[in-house]
Amino acid sequence: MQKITKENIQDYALKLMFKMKDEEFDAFEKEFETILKHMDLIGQIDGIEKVEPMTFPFKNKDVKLRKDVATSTLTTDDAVKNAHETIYDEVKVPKVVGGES
Amino acid sequence: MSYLDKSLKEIHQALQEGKVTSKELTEEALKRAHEYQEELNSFVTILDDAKEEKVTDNVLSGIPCAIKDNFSTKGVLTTASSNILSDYVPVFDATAVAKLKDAGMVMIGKTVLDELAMGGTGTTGHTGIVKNPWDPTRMIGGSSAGSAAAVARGIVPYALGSDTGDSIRKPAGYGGVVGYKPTYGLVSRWGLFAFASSLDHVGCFAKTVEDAAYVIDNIKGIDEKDMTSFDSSNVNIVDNLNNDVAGKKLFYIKEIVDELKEDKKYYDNFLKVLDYAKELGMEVKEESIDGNILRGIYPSYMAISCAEATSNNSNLTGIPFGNRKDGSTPDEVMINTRTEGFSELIRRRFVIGSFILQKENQEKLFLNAQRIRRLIVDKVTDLFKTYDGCIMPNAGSIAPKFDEEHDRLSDKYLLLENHLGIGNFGGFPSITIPSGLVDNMPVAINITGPIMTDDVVFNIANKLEEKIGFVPLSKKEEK
Repeated sequence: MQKITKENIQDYALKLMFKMKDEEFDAFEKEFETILKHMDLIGQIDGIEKVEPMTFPFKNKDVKLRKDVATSTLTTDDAVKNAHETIYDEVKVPKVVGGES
Repeated sequence: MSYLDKSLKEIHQALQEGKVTSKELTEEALKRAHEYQEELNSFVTILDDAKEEKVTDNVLSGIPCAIKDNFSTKGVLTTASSNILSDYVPVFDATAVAKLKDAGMVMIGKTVLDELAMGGTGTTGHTGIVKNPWDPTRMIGGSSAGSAAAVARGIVPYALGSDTGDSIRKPAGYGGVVGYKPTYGLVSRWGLFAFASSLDHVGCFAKTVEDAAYVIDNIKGIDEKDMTSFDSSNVNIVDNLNNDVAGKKLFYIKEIVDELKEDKKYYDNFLKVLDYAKELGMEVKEESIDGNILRGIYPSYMAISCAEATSNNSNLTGIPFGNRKDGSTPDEVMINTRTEGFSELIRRRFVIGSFILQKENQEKLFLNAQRIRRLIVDKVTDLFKTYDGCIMPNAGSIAPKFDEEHDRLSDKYLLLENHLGIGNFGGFPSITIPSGLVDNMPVAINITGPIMTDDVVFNIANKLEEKIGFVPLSKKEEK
């Protein structure tokens, strides 16, 4: 397992598109170390590695995929209603490659 | 007593007989919402333009309610108590909200939660902390803090909440009200802002078990927009509330209840409820579960929920919606929006989730957490072959004071403070009802049953509630 360092914490934060501030690392380390301590204990349970991981509560017998038929969802007006800035019914963002938008 | 403080059935009867109008109830609820807002901070938004609704045969028609601010409500600000969504106005209703609208509810406000529902204290919402109406120096708990406080204070007879680890049931217990988390899939999650999809449930708060039953009967049902929902047309909660419970079998988990023995006041309260169960003809037995597995509940919950949350919240970029911050590139816009939009606690949780999901950490952290989930759910499901339900103390103490340390991973009460997560792991129906007072603050018990036996869980809770005879705060201080 990886070690917890300021560098890899900042790296994980950036992968999730945000930054951690320097003063936040101590609280993070404290909280996470306690979780890891408990997870270590879980790892020591006999035969834990043979248990099938559980990803959802139970099998739902009523699951049906809907028919593959096109339907309308959001109107364009609704889709852009909450955007900060729009232009020609589209969401406006800064230019991706160099220069100003 | 104001009609607003009566049971839903009584209010409905008064509405039908013309003794009170939907308009009067709505005005009274709005007045109370404003009156207690400074003291409790239950609401992100109070809907002063809420209009009365036509009274029909539906018990909920014309009656005010509140909705947790992580349910999409068309045309009404919905923030999830986060700065990143401080200006977000949904363009559709969550299914549970739409069903309540069909029933004729009057939504008078959106309630405060722990930011993005990721917390259990009611102290991390972007509009401030929520206080406990029984004692404002104490927390009400979370994440559905505002809904719990609004019902406990009697502002509304019921409110919607969501529950990923215990986010309805814990605050219900601290606030002396009923909190219900149904079987996973009984109520559609469409339009609920996802925190951890495999653990999230839609449920409600009410002053009585019967009131909660009316709410759940109205919002349950299969929904093509939520593939985890199921056909529950054979589950009729209100109709089965008063069945005879003699012969029902309950168990409690020894290792968890043992932690309660340290404080006689709490333990005695629990024993008293067990006596009531026996007086009703129910059988109550002690069962044992490996403490090593039980101690894994909370760290596994953290691992699974943080991991699922990182992906569920990846759509909060500030670009298609949300409180966008400036940047010279789209990446910079997203990074600035998310850095400033999420509080420190949320960013910490996301980084924990990201760490857990890294390929080199998955086996030991993520998969082991999911394995503990399997072990605990299999064990409890096995016990449910013999028993109709599990009866447990709701928490290890009364609502903590704001200045008390509240560490859910501390060794003291590690099991007692976190066992409600079993209900989320297995999708089991789970209800919390007040069981009395300790030091003038409410304490509660929880009943959890096998999946799809929501009616039985309600039935047992209803009968116990009658025996306990708890008086909610809003009725205690008659207006």
